[in-house]
Amino acid sequence: MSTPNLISAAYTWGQFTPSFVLVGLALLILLTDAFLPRLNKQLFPLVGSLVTATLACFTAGSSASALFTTLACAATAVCLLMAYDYRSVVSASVAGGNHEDGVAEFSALPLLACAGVCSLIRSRDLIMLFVSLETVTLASYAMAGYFRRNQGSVEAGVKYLILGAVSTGLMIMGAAWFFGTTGTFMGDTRFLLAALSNPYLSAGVLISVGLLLAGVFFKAGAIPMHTWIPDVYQGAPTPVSAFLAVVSKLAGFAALLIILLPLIYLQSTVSDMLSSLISVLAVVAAGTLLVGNLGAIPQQNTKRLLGYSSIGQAGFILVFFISLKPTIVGPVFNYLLAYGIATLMAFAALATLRMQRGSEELSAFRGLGKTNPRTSFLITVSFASLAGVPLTAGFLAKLSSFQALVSTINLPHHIIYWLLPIMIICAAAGFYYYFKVLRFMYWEKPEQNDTPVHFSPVCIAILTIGTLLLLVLGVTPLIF
Amino acid sequence: MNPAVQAILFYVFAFGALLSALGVVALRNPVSCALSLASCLAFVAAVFFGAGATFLGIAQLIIYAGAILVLILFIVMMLNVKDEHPAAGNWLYCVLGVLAAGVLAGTLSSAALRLPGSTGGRCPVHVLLEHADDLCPVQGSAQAQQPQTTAPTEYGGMLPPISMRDGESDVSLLGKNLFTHYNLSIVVLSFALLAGAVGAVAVGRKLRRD
Repeated sequence: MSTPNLISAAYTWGQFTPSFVLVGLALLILLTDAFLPRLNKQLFPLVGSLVTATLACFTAGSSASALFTTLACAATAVCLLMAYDYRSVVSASVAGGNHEDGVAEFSALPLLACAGVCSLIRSRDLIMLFVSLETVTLASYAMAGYFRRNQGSVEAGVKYLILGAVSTGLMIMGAAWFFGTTGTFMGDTRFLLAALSNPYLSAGVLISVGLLLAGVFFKAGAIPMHTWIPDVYQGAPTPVSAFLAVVSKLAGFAALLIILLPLIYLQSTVSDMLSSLISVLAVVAAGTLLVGNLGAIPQQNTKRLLGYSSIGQAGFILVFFISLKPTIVGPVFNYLLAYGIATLMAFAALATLRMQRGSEELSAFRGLGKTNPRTSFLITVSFASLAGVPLTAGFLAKLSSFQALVSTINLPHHIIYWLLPIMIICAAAGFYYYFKVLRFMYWEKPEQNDTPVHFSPVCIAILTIGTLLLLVLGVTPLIF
Repeated sequence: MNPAVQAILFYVFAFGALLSALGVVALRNPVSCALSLASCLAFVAAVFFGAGATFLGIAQLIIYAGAILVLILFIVMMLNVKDEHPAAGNWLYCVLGVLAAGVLAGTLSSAALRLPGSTGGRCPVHVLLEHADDLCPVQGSAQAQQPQTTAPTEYGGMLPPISMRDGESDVSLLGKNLFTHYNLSIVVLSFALLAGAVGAVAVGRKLRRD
């Protein structure tokens, strides 16, 4: 076999346009902050959000990477809007008083993280995957610990940093094993097949995939790498928690797809090799479902509850991967879309309640049904979609997860017989803990001095658009 | 080089690396930890030299044993860290931690023991060099028999492989790859550094006193 021209660029610059635009915007914001100190700094999150939302429209397309990029950009735009809404807390917790120090960096960091997500989605080799993942992670560390006057935020930042470093180490170890056994960093089916069918190397390939998965599970929030989620979500600033819950999780699942898809394409050729991988994925999915959904039940803090909920929802997404079929990309995206919209809405409502009632406990939702009946309906839709009530997008997403499990009935593993009961229990548990929020809104009486909560126009807009999307996606399964 | 000498050197350096790695974890004084990390990295660099990866060995010495370790030592001395006290941990966590670490170590070593050259009493470096042609899937005989499977266009599609053996020195090969094949990865790496720098400045900025 003749040697082709082996050294050539693996990527074209055009594939990374969204990342360049986002980084350029972040630099522009930082430079403007430095050179125009008198400018109203509240413009930064607004401009960032606007440009990111426009970028989301431009990147829209039908390919999987375009869809993921659009969702990442749109979610980042919403998080920046929330940061704008949250400005009084940002000023008080970063610099103290009404000083606006740090607003520019607080809007630039999500943009940098989103640039990392955009390039991660386009990556086709482990080097690019790792470098992009690190961009997301480094920006997230700083964002999680951004409120330095707040003990919880600093604690969240440190915890995230230490646990993130461990998972990064595991991932690098996996990449080294991958290179050692396949001779390449690319998830190329030819080289994987050569290594998997070599008796010396096959175990090494599986180990490398295992270590890579451990690193990615950290981002996606699957066991055994889930421990950071409740603490970091609780401590981090609310817009950052929303970012971690939606954009960072999307990055995790995109990376999971990138690592697993070459193996998925080889599934028919080396199915006996991959049967252990299927068992591992099934066990991880089951554990994630149980830890997330059962752990959420006793929670009283809404952010902690949403943290456990994000673990539980990751479990439902992991169920798609058990079938190891190339067709899972669509359902995974749909699930992330339904989960992302509802979670962003929940965090937006929570940010407002935190500012007005000064509490993030579930009891902050008390009596909203009486004081703010219209907004309560919007919040109800978001939590109903997370729980999976029919006529919302969350229902169809959960349904497709069950369908994916049922489609594995012909596999020799008999996973369905023990995983299906677990899924049913966890879906039922979801109804219990998500509806606890609704119980506080409609059944608890408002306290004597409770005035109606003033939801800002930004928050109302996020909630209304989210509700419309959830309801439309929930009744049009053909689009879904 | 004589295979016997090669084998002896490999085992000496590998054992030294293992011992000093244990020292990093076991020693109490932070300065001793850092110094045994330095010796561990130096031993690994020696193993790299033995395997013919000269540039990698030099880079390991200059970057890790040189720059990064000096940084670590600076931090240790600036913070004036006293001896580390073992945390009084819950025994359940101890058992779980030992179990998890044991499972990981067992898995890794069982895979490593299946690699050619790990058993049979011959020098691993020598065996690896002997088998390199059969084992390297990029250019070895292994590739010739492979059927062309259909690759997905998105996520993990075909990319041109890199040849690690075409008569060039590893320095020029690395340089060429960095500036062509991994060009964009380095650009994205600069985003990561930017994010890290912005984050460090934002989090480390002085608090206002009012």
